[in-house]
Amino acid sequence: MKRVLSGQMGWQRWFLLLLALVAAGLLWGTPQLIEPYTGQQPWYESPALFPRLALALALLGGLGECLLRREAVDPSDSEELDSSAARMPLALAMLALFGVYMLAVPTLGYLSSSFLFLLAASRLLAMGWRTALLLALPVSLGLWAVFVLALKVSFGHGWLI
Amino acid sequence: MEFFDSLAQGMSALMGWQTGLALLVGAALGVVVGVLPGVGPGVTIAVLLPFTYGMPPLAGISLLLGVYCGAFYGGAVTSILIRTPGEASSIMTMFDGYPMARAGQAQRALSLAFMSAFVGGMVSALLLGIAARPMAQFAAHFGAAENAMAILLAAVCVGKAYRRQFPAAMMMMGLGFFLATVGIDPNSNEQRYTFGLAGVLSGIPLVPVAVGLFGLAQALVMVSSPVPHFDAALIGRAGVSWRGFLEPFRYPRSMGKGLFLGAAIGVLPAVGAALSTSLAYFWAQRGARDKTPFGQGNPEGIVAAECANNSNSGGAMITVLTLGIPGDAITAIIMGVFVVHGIVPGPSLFMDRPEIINGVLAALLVINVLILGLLVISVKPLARLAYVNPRVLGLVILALCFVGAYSAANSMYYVLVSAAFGLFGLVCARANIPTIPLILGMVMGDTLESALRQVLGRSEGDLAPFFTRPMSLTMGVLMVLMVAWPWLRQGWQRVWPDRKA
Repeated sequence: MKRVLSGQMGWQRWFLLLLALVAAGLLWGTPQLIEPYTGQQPWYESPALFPRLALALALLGGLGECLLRREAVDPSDSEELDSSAARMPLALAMLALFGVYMLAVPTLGYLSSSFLFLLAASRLLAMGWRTALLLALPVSLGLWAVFVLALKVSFGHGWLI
Repeated sequence: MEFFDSLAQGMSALMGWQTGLALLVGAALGVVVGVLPGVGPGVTIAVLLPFTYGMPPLAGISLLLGVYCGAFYGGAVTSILIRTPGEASSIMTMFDGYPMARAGQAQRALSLAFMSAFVGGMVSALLLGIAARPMAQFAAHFGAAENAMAILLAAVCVGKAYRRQFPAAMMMMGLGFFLATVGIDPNSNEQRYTFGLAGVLSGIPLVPVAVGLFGLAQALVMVSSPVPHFDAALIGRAGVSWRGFLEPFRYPRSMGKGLFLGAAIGVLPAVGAALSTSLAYFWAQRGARDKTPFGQGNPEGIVAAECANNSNSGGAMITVLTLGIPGDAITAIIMGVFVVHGIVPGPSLFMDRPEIINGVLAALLVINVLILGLLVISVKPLARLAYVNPRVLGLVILALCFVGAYSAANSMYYVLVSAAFGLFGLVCARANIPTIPLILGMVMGDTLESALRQVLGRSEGDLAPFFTRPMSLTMGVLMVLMVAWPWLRQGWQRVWPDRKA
């Protein structure tokens, strides 16, 4: 057990522990998180039964992985998405820009927000102004034509289009 | 005879213009995403999912099936020409395809790969047509206890497929099951884990979660990774040769090995095409007719790998259609299309909506023919897609993720959910935590909960029904053996150190 508990407590293990703790918190708080929770039904008819089992599985799995993972794992070993070469600050900055895009669409309108998002994102990736414009203009116009004009997706009315 | 009747019915179900167009667009998109660097069928299917809701069910399913199958073919192009597998399942094709292309036989390698994949795809579709009905008849005897055990067994299989990450996969499966319970409980009308938020009352929707985990996370990785460099000298030599098309039939043993492993492994949940291609490749090395060393351009390596790769699709659809259990993330999302249209996959589907089952069978056959035709006429320009900058693609995918998530319900809440799961998917990828089990858990959670409730309600909390019905007991024992296997093996090795468990 001591051997299992030893090893680096890298951020990956902290993250696993956090997920396990969230599951534990939800498990513990289940009676408060189900409304109206009577607790009068027999256990097998309770609406809390299945979520509790699911959360217990998540908790055990998270703790088990946290204990087994004694060494830092290389992201390139991932069997799904290899993010080993990704620069996290850049990825997070891009996600923040995506958040701004979300806020901009109802205010500015879909076409103008998409254009500005693609332009800003291209510049963030150090693309030249010309490349950024050549990407942002046709892509935003194409998306607007397909989704707003053809498929009639409504994004509300912003200041611009 | 029954098979041909089903096929004829399926073909007539595909006759509408919407379904025909969906087949063509899906097949073309699939091949393109297979070639494009960094873009997989998962991303494309996640982004396309909302648009299938407005289509007739068979058209929506055909579109996604086209992408699913097309990507298997497209992945071989970059494996052979630039030594960069488009999909994980194309790695084995690279081992012999690339040396063959380097030796000036790019067209032969591509033709071998395409024809082998075509045979794999056709055989797996035929297998679906032949095996699905008897399997559904067998599954029709399942009660709620068997259904619950089958889902639990599938969950353990998914976890086991991640080998050393079994606990992490089970954690994500548990989170997926939990997320499926959020919202108003359909049985008691009680609000579960909604935190008083109005948007969460109807539950956590599958579309934005899939868009976030597969689309957004992938796009964020693409835009933040350096542009990969590759030797593009062979791209100009892309093409096909008719002699190469006939060559796979000279190696029936390697072909058979690939077909057998691909179809058999395709049925197993989450194991996927990557394992079947590697097993088929190594199996083909034994008793190969061609004496060229494997890894240096042996055609049998390509034949076995590609046959196995593409014969997965039919096998994976068998479990979806007959048991309502998806084999991987892509079939889980395809199952989402069924559910949105009020179609419940499982044995009753054969009685209730035979046109869907027969339509899927016919669609798989037509898709393979369409893809092969598309590749023959356009492999040269297709290969040039490998030059596309993944960062530019990543930006376009980000914009598509936004509109894909939003248009599922014309709601910014969906975009918010997809952004949150995009971040979660990115962190999980960085921490090497699998996310596919979460989607599988979300898809299977409702069915598992209602099956458990049904059994326990009838027996008033007695667990005996799970252990007194033979099928349920068998699945339970299998599940326990699978979970306990590492300890059993350790014990075996301690008692008999010289024997292999």
